[in-house]
Amino acid sequence: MKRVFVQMTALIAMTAGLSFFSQARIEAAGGWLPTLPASVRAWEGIDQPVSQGTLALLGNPRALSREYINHVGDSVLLTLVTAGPFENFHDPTVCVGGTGVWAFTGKKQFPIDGPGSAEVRAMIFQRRDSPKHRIVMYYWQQARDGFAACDPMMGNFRDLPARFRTGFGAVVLGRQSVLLRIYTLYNEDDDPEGLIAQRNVHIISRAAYHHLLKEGKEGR
Amino acid sequence: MTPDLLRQEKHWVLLALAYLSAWWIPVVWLQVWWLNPASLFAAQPLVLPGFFLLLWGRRQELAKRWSARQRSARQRRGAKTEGSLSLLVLGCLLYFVAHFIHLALAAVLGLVLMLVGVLLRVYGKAFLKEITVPLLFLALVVPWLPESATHLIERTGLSLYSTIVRTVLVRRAWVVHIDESTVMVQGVSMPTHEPLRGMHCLFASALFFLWYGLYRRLKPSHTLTLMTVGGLVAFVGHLTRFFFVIVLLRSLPEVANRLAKFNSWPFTLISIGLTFALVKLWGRLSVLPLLKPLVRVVRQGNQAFERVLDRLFSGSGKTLGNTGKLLNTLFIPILWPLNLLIKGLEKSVGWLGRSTQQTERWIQQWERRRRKRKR
Repeated sequence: MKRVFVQMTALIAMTAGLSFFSQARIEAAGGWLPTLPASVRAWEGIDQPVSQGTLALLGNPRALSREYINHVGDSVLLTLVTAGPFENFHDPTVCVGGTGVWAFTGKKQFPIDGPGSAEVRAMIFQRRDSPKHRIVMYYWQQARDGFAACDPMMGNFRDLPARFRTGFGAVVLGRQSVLLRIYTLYNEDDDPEGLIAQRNVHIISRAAYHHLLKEGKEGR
Repeated sequence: MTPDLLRQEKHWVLLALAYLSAWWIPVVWLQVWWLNPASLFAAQPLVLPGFFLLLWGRRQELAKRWSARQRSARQRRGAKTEGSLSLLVLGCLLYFVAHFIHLALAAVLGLVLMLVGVLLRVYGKAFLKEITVPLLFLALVVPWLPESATHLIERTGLSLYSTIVRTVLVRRAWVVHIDESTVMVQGVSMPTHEPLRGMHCLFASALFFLWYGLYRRLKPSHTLTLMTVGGLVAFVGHLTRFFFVIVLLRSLPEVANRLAKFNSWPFTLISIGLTFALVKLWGRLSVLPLLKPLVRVVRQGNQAFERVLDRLFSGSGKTLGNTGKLLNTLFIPILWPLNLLIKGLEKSVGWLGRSTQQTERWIQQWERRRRKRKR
């Protein structure tokens, strides 16, 4: 009987130990905070503060925010948060759409820079009280090793495969990653199809993707 | 537990320590629910000690059956009493996989399976059959409800309380607005503090009486009645607190804020105590005559208090005259908001109108019956 207890205690203790190890690895997955490009072609970047309320909602990750402005006054906002525990993975369709001010109206997934590059999710939000005002946003998760994904991960059951992939990456592969939201606001009167807005967001997103890829490879 | 027994059973102590350490991370994940007294599931972690207490309550018969089985196993040489490790391994796997997906449900379910797996390995399947009821109770520690359903329950609770309070206060021409973020009374506002949602008291009370019914091995119908009465008393108790907060907000906003933010556990414990008092009063008839002098003293105090109230709220005295005296007697510290409530509910809830004289008559009848039985 003693042998049985030794077996069981060892098994439970090992599982408990793995639990602490997993949690530490998931915390460590948020340990990579890369820099952002200071400027992108004709776009000049200006650092913006990230509100404490937003950070608290996201489980207090480390974050960067930079507004890029071009010579004609168009602006694109880039926010980057470290992706450790799953609280950090707030999906824009829930965060932006959940405020009641913006309605989520459409999305599309595509590679940011041709085949083989990161899949990003482009989304459109429409202001409820002023339907001509819209937001176009790109969202994706990018790891230090170049891995990228843009699946939602907030649903405990709905998003189980994506959560498992991210958790496995963090715990077993030791993958560190960040979440990027790049967006701009436009008015349908000025930009009827939203093409200018999307082009601007696309330029900044592609530059950020390559910058992070380079920084990840250099191991900084 | 003697030191000898501890030495003899030290293998259990080590196993228990390893098992308890495995709870650490799931408790951290669930701290928003489990360590927050205002949360709907604040009472849920108590299921685990409740399960062990249920086993403790059955220890003698379990020990007898266990030794009987050991004897019969010795007679049939080679017959095994213990089960396999498979359930424990399954629990460990589920628990570990839960860390990849950060799913508290899977982690806690894994921990439950680990515990059941240990019992299965040591004592065998037949033992698990003996403790089916405690095991079913143990399943309540798993956070089965998704977050969306929990929020829906809490929202519904707040809406129910606020509807009742508004209905009563509107009759006094008060302007009351209550939503999920703000409470506003006659132009004075405060945030809708979490404890005001109030469903945690109901859940904790129902859970406690379920455990109590299982521990005392009451009939299922009695347990269900206890749970219902407990839930109702918790509801009325929280409603009273809610009422006080709203009424005080206009004149004493600081006090109202403190009362709204106050830890919910003392209120839950009071409601559980009140439920026992009510059940004793109504269920165990022989207790009533003993309480008679106390009831008389409290009633006199109540009448004096009512006279003061009648002067303060002219007009309300008429309706208070014959309404809910028994409840007033029991709930004298919370009399004032209860009276206001009764005013609002008196038409629809007829049974509250039973007078103290009626209760006196019941007491006399019960005394007579008891004497007859004694003879």
